[in-house]
Amino acid sequence: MVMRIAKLLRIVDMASKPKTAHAHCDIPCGVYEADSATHAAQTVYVLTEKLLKLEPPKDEKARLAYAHTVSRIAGIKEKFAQVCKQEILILWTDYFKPEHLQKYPGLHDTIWKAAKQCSAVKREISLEAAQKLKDMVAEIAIVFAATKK
Amino acid sequence: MFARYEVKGRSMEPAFRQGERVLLFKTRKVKIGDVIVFSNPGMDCIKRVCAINGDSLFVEGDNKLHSTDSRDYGAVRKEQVIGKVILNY
Repeated sequence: MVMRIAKLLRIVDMASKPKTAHAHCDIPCGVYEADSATHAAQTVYVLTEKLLKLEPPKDEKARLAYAHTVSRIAGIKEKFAQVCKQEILILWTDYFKPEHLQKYPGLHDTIWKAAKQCSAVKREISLEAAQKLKDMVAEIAIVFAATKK
Repeated sequence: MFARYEVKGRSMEPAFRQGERVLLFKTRKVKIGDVIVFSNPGMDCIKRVCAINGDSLFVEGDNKLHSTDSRDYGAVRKEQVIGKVILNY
């Protein structure tokens, strides 16, 4: 009986297409990825490097240009540290699920510390701190990639 | 009274695979364990009812690691329910 109904329904489907029921994995909003956080952390690292390489000019007239450059680089470093934090938090709150945490029990702690590290790289001009952020984001990206398999 | 749907996406695997078709009985009387189609903004979605609290239904995909559901967007209201799946073909 069920087989007959199924066969009949398939014939009906040929005449009139059925509607779509989304079992889609990423409704309602979207696409998740770890590349944005990785890119932001790398940007922070490069800008920190640039800041550390800058040397204050001895020439009085060049001081203003120097201050301007420092200010711009520091501003962009600040911005990308915030982007990094935001991207990490999006993965944390919107993508990762209790099942992922069961499999990776250290994930909460890793993300929490990485978000704090985003603040640390704002406060400091430290390659060590920037490298630490890169490592933490890489760790999150590895877990993210593993959950996508 | 009835509606036909084609499943798109993988969050209901293995019970309902991508491209599989289901027959829906249009009702809002659902119980825990029923697979329902409900209206979400912009699209109709298929999920399984995991808990019921009055007019609020908590729905999840069977393929929990690849499902966005009530764990993310909260409960679904009973008035959003289009019906429950009674046959897949």
